[in-house]
Amino acid sequence: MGLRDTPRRWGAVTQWLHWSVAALILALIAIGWWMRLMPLSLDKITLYYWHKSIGMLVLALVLIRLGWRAGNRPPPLPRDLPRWEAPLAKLTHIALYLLILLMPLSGWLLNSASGIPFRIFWTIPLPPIAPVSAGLEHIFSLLHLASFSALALLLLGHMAAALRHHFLLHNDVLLRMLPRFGHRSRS
Amino acid sequence: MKIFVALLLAFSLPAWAAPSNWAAGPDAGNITFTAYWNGTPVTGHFPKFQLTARLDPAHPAGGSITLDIATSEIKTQSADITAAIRGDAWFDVKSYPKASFVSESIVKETGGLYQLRGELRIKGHEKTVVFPLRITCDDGTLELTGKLTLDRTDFAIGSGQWSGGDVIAHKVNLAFRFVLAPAG
Repeated sequence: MGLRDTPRRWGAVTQWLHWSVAALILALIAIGWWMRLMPLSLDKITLYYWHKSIGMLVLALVLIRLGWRAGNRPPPLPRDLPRWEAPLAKLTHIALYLLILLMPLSGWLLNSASGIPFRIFWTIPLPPIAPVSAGLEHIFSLLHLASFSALALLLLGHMAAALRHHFLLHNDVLLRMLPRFGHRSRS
Repeated sequence: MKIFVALLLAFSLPAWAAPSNWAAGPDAGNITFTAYWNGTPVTGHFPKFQLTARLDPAHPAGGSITLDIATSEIKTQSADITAAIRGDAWFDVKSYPKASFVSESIVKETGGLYQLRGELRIKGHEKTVVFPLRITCDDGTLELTGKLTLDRTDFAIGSGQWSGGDVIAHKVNLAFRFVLAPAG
């Protein structure tokens, strides 16, 4: 498998970014859910630190992903898709990118408005991008929650579509985002 | 000449020689603190306090300074942190809405500096603290400034699971400034 995307499949860089962001988003959802339910404690604070740090990591990775995508032509969708599916897929992917950007950005705004100091992975101080304000904090938390709800729905659709392509339509849409374990690269 | 000096001293006595009564309310100063959260400073202040003093800066030996602080009004840079530290494990403001400082001795050092010693009472815990105090006389007022570092565990501020110093440091830096006006 080459590093770059080809007309047949996604390259190693794209696959690596895709699957690491996917895993990190799942971790963020799990930690985010858990930390909200916990009573105030040191463990809760530690979970918030992990959630915020991983969120900033995802922000960096998705920016790299967008840069890489701009310099690579994605493999085209199968030609035999019904007419409405290709535009829908394109729209869904644009919305996914926007929401994956909006999640860490609204989190960053939320953290700024809360006035709680934070260092990414206990090292890099995160500068505030909004004034400290309880009112703004409330608005940003609603924004964070709303983008989460939209992202969760889109992710379910994204996963369902990938499985449908693989198991019902029998095309390579899912496989071309997977490394070919046990196969020798034919590139 | 001797008489002149004596007269001058006599006339200036009412202003400075005897300990005078002074006071400073919340509009005439501030008490700020910096705590450390994962190594990052978190600042806050006590917006409500009342200071009373009986003090002659030239002869501080018989003087006294008393400060009452409404810990129930404690504020930090973050509303979330403020809400948390008013809780039971921290300042427990429901049971202990006030902290106080009562001086035991004021010793003059050089250049407007004094050594202040007294009992600090927070959350029902008392501790003797000694720290440098600067007194500046200006236009009928006294300005008191200084800073000191406290260990929050001496006062059970952050008890139970919070008593470790890894995430939230034990050391808390305090700084204050009061402008005292003559009182009664």
